[in-house]
Amino acid sequence: MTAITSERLPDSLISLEIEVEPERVEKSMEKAVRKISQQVKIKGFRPGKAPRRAVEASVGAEQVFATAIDELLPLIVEEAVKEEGINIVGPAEDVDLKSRDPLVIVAKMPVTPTVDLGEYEALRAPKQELDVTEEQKAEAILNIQRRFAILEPVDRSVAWNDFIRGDFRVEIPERENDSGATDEAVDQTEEDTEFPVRENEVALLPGLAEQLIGLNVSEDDQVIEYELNAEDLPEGLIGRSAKFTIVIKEIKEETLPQVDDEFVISLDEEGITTVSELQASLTKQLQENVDAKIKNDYREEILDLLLATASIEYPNILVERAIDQMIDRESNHASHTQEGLEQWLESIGQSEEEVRSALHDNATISLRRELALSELSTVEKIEVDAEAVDDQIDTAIESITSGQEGLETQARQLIDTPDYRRTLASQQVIDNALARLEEICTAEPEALVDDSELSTEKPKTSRRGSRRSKATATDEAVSENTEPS
Amino acid sequence: MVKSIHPYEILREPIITEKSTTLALQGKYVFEVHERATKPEIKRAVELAFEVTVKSVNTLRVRGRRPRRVSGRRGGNLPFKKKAIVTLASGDSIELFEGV
Repeated sequence: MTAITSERLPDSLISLEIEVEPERVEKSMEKAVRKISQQVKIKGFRPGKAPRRAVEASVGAEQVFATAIDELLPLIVEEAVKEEGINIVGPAEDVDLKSRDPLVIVAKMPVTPTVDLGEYEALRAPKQELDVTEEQKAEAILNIQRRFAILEPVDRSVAWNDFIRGDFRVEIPERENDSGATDEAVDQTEEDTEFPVRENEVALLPGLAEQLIGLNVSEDDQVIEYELNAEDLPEGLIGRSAKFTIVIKEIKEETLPQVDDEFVISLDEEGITTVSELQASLTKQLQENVDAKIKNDYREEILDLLLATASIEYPNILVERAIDQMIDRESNHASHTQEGLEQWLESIGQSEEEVRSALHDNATISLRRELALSELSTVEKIEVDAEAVDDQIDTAIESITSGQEGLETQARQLIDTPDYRRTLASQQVIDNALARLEEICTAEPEALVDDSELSTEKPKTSRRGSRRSKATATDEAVSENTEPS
Repeated sequence: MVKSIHPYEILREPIITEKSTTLALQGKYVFEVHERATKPEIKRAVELAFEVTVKSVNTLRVRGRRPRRVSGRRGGNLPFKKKAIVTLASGDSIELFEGV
């Protein structure tokens, strides 16, 4: 290559302008001629023996040039990337032929993303703490009682908390919505189905339970018509009229068991023999669920805060890869083959473009979060704890073998692979980075001062230092080579 | 008296094959020529058409091949062809064959 000029473009792209020596192009043309001459039957010549003029006369000079360029381009681009010390993350997004004589090509290469976390150390977000309410505790007990409830047929009209057994049909005619599209009609029939009639609980259709109160057992159809207007309905159902036809065969009354120590013992829960122990256990479980939800919501919130502070630039190819991974997961790995992908797309009734477009936003968020956390782990010097990875692998092996002797070696061969170790390590780093972000966001205001004092002791972990480390030598290489050599 | 052939009708087409390409490197060019063309006529035609000096001309007749026929039908052969191998004076070359 005689000359390479590079220019930094937005979206983590680098434009490389490469001029190729004529001798190299000529050599490539000769190689292309030999290749074509082997593949194409040229009258008067054995395969591979036709000279260049004869090949050009047979397939056209353009075809020879195209074949030569196809072979030459990847090599030139690879060499240019190596020479410039650029960290690319995928193949060239766009390659243009700027001139033929001399041969000059312009390739747009996707490079390593750049992440600037901004003043992330100043981020603060109050963490909400919630205790389990008495209503939640009572509901948990009620759910256990309902599991052991006795249902007895009664000869009266339907009341709250009864069960109805019968045949029914739900009809909702189609409707043209405000946007001009048609909401599809619903026509569902079930026979001999049993369902509860409870307040604040949707049975079959929102708002239906109230309409069922007072009905009696009857061999004839009983028709209920009402407008769907509950708050939590999907948009496509709000305001539509529903027709519910039911034949009630049986009405059953629910009798809940008394909650006493005898009932608790009958549950056969390990270490729980009294009502107070059951309540304590349920409260602990509920509190864990609440805490887990709060933690999850809080992490989402602080991640959004981190993304709002950070400026992240990445090439589009990384989003496409994230979409590929999502499709792979959603199709249960069917997308590994083109045939499998097509079958999966057919089963969900969508085209590949529709699926990709629907996943684009989530893939972008997921990528941005991953890049920000990865940068945070670098800045905060979060390292992989090899022992923790070993422990995770041991736990996975133990769960597979269930303590059976002789299976451990096989299971270890299957699980303890470099790939799996890498996945666990990367997950661990991301988790630890999130935990560190949580620490930062929940720190007292005074801690901010301490942090800044600390930061003088580790200057390379500041955001500016991090950006340089992430961008590696690329920026320097680019700035040095933007001027024509 | 046999009617002479116009020089433009003598040279039918150059024969470009692996063998003729090798011969071209030795200054020998192969043409398909009119079946009644004589060596002097071929010499004159080549000199006129390519502005070169012809040192010698060798000719040969090529039997027309038997075309593929539907079974049961009688058929003849394609007509004879005449080829001429023209040797040029050293230093001369014909552009048509250059690089081939």
